[in-house]
Amino acid sequence: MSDRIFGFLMLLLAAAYTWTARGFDPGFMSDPLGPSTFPYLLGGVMAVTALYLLLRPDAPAHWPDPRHLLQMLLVVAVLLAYAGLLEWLGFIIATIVTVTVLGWRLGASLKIAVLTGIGVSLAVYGLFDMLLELPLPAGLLGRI
Amino acid sequence: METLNYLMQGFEVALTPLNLGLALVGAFLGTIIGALPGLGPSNGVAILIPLAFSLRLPPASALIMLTSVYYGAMYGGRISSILLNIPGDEPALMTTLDGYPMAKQGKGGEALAISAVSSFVGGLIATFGLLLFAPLLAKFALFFGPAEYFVLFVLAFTTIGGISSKNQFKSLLAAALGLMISTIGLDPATGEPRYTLNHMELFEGINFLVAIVGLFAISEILFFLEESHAGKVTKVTVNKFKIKWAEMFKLTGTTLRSSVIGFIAGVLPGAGASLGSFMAYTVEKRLVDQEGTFGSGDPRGVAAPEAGNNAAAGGALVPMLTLGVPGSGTTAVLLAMLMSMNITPGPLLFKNHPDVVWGLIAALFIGNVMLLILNLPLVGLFAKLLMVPSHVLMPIVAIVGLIGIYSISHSPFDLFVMIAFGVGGWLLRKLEVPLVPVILGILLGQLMEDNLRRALNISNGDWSTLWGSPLCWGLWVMALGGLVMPFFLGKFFRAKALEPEPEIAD
Repeated sequence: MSDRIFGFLMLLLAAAYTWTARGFDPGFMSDPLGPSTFPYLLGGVMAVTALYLLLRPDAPAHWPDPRHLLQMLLVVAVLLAYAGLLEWLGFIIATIVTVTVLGWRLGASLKIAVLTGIGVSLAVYGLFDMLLELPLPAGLLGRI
Repeated sequence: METLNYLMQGFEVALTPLNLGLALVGAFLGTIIGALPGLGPSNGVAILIPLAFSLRLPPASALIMLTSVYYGAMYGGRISSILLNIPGDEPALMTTLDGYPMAKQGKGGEALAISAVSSFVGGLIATFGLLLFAPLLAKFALFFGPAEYFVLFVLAFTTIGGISSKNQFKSLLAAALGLMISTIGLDPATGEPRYTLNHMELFEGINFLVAIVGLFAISEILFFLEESHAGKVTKVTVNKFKIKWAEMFKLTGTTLRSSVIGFIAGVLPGAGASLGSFMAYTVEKRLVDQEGTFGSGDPRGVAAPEAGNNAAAGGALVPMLTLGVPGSGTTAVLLAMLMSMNITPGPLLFKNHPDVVWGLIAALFIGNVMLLILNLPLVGLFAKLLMVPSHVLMPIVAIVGLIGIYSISHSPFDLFVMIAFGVGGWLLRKLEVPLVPVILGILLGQLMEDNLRRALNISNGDWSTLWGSPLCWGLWVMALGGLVMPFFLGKFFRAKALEPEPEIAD
């Protein structure tokens, strides 16, 4: 079933991709290929392969149970928050929080997770910012 | 003679204190990365590319460090396959067959030593092969015009799944997906924005480093979360051992034969290291296994796949450097590394950047020796790394990946894109859609379109130019063969290879 849904979605993607390519402006230069032809080819290849998956799917994939799925959503959310808040919070604070949550969700006790967070954050900061001289955002701590 | 001169120049590049130091650091880091559970050569190199980029190392130095990491990771990966029966990547699968039984008999140390020595021989022979054949192929490749290159890229995509590919349609779909991603941004010929959704950030296209680190590192973390080996720590010890050189000597024939087989498998498109180790093991089993001891801890069963797979890794560098067409996941990542330094591999690489090519080849020799020296005495220490729990390791992988990308562009947008690629990569791996063709598509898309454009420009828009020369014909035949062969051979190979787990690394 998963393969069929995936095939269907990819077929939609191929259609949308090819449809969008119609509107590209070939410009005034004489270019026998133009901006649309290569996308047409790709859309065609994807449509054929997606159609095959739709019609002849492999054995079903094993998806994680809802509990694990929720965990993964949490981790992705934390990573997104890290990306968004890194510059404002600063590397050290953002990393402590993120590593703690990740380590905790990966099976460490909360205490060990917090210690890991602090350790990883300071070690990576020392290595990157001080030793390798790749500046990391200071954020809140820099403003104090 | 010419080659020898170049090689001497290469050694001059590689033997500077900075580059020697980088090779040592790379070999050490690489072994650690390979030994750590859940990190293979591809992931390891992928995570470190952004760093090499932001540190603004000169191309030759960066290349030397990262190839040392690559070789080191291959060495380190053997530790978990032998001691724990967990292959770190697909080629290591064959090593578990005799390596793990040896470890169970209390000869894990010997197995690791054999694996180190035969890897060394395999790598050494492959480097000699690279030295001999790469310049020849590069000269030959000068005859390639744009049409030939376009067909060559097609060939790369139809064979990347490998002979043991499970579902060719999924490989092709993955390739199309990667190529589609590469078309995002301004069209280089007309300046027309394509698929940018009017976002300024997308006008320059998706940075392939962002995509690769996302696909490899972030998706790996999601995989670990799902499996959730909460708090499980494995105790690993290596027995004390002394290398018995007399016994090593008995393996000479096996190691040499396997190295040659592996090198050939590595050079062939679509074969790669998995096939190298598989063929070496099978051939050796046919030839020397009279008593039927293969599979129950025969030292020759460790030496054969190890020599084969390291030789294949070296062989895979031949098409990658001379044609710019990688044949496996790790060589695709090495290609990404070169491209991030604005070096496009291909026949002209040997003319325009001889310091890079020959420095690299010299570095392979040096790295190999260093790894052997590091690995024989320190293997017990590296084995301890298997006990690093995933709740420490995986957050580090995430942070280093994110910070590496951040330090290139200082743009949170890239980080969002990277996480999106991670989630997408996880979904694809779940559906058993291989990630390597996606990466190859992102890497080669622009070159492919560019060559098609130039071919059509030369022929005034006549598409028949794509099958206009005998060389094109040959490449088309090989491409079709690569596409169709797995349907016939796939079942046979998979039955023999005991159904490997879906792995992104090759």
